[in-house]
Amino acid sequence: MNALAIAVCRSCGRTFFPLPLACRQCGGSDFDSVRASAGTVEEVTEVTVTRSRIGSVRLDAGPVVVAQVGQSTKPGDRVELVGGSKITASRI
Amino acid sequence: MARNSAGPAIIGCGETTYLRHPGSDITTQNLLAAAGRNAVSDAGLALRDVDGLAVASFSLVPDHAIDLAWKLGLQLRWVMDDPGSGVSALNLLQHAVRAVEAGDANNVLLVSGDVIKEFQKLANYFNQTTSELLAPVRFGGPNSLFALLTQRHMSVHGLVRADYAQIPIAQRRWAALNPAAVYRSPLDLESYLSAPIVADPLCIYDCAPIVAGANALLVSGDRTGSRSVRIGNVVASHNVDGQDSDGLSTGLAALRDRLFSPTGCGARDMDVLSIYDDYPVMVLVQLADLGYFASHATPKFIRDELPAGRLAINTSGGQLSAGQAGTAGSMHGIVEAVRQLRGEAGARQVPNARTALVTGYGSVLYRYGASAAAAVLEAPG
Repeated sequence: MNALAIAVCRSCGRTFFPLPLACRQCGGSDFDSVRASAGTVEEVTEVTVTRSRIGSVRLDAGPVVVAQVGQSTKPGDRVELVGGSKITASRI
Repeated sequence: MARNSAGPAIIGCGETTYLRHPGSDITTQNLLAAAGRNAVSDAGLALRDVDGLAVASFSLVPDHAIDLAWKLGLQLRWVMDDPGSGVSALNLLQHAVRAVEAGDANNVLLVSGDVIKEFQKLANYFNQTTSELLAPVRFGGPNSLFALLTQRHMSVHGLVRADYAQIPIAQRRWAALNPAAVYRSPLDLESYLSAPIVADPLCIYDCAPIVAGANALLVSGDRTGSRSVRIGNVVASHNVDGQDSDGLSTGLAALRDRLFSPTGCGARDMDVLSIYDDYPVMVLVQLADLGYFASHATPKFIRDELPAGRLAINTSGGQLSAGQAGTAGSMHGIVEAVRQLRGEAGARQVPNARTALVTGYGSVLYRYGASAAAAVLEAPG
């Protein structure tokens, strides 16, 4: 299990998720991959057809990520995100 | 509306019958060809008169516009493919206008449409980001993303589900007057509130029903016909915020002066509105962006103005009732506007409709649509 990583522009420090091809702020093309797994759930919905619960999670580092969340997770919860083949959020 | 009065015009339009449950013999290329033929014949032209072709379709793959040209026997001076989204028809229109103005082509046929047989597959492979980040969490397609967006909108404006219901309910009243709409029976608040949930808070009436169908337009420099609808202006915006915002406004907010000023009209002068309605929340967002009300006045608009029916919004029933034929979504709104401006809208005709506003919205790259576009159309004569 991998902690979620975001991209940080090496020139200006702007954060991105997912990794872009160029920095929208300064045009830079070099990025550092930085662990950024902590965030706060903003909204949660349950998808009837797939029975999946997904939410928007605002990372402390800035970007908003769409993640699979647990049954009891609700807006306002603090979560830890794990990346890899799919992004999941667990309550801290 | 002086500036563009001599510009290219929409001289023909066509639409196939929208099918909620298409048989296996219904194919994308056949629907595109049928809609295209309708538009050409509606314009009083023959296929041999067409010298430009633009195509938007998810499901024509592996074919492209050039394949369609070959199979229809079109000899072209100009051809265009659009990758396909809720903004496709406006994209095609924007390019076709310039092509005609530049003399690259004189009779440009625009076609869009889809037969979507494997929706989840299409939804999961909409782009690389979707297939890598959203498909694995089983997001199930854009409904869930717009459920999250609607929750943000509810929270910002203090709205409840009954507020969003006003959009599909009002559009269903229009659909009752449109024999071509796939859903025409009346919708009331009680039915809306007790309807199956697709992704909380969205219910089935908040999600445009997928249909098989195609639409077409003929954009021409020969605009003298009595049924020619003039194209006052077309504007578009793409990727205004890098998917870094909340999605509760679109690129139209920054474009509204640019859209209306050359036409000499304001938003409130528009007699007919085709506002891209993949979800009710986006109708509200676009209307606010275009200046129909200030964003903070969204609840007042829903509760006071919308029920009064002063604005003729999505008079075909919109995609929510008439159906969403994939990339034909925004062209459906243009075709409806053209019919209204020609006075050919039958029982749902808006009296003395002289001007129309059409929007498109789409390209959901990760969390919400990145593209928004709008056009002002004017009645013949």
